[in-house]
Amino acid sequence: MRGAFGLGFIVFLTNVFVNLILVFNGAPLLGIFCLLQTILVFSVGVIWLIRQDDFSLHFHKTSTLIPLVIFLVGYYLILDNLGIKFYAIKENVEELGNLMLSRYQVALWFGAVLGMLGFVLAGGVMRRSQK
Amino acid sequence: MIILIVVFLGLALACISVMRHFFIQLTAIKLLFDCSILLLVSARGLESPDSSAQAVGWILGSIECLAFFIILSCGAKRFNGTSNLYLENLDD
Repeated sequence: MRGAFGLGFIVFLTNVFVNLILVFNGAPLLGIFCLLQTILVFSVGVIWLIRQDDFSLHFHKTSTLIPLVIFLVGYYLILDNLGIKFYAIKENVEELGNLMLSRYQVALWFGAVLGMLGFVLAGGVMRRSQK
Repeated sequence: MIILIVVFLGLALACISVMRHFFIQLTAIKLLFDCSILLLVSARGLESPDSSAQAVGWILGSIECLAFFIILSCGAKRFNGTSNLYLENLDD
């Protein structure tokens, strides 16, 4: 396995592991939803990688790892001090649907408007590139 | 388990910030989103309601789906026909 594909495959396996944690921890629908997206993104990425035929690793600013490690240690300490722990999920789809339609209705409308705006912008970019 | 998720979060952030390869960054962004969803849904205090966290997880997952659709479309358009994988100097 060459560099870029190897690292990408490790990240993909980690991603699948995270999705399986979701599935077996009590949220199967959300986990399968994320797992399908993971497979789709990795498949498209592999097709694009094979087409470009550049399997070498390109590093950029490795010094950013130092503040990143400090941030992660701080993040973990904050979670630990707040008493936040890992619990099993009880997925109740009916309750979830009622909650989303009642409490997050404005957010859903806002998301739909944002989505439509994204499609309009993407359509505008595609049209401009054809000139 | 929390520390494992934080380590995965660190792996994703490290791949996004240090690597300059669209394929690795793409899978790392996906890992970042999924770790965030897992932390939102599973890691909580005892008093926090369960359904609210799940609803936010679903909303984040849906936004992720839309974001990846746009990222993949932009990537296919931007890197099409070039042998350069960097995110800058693409016109060269």
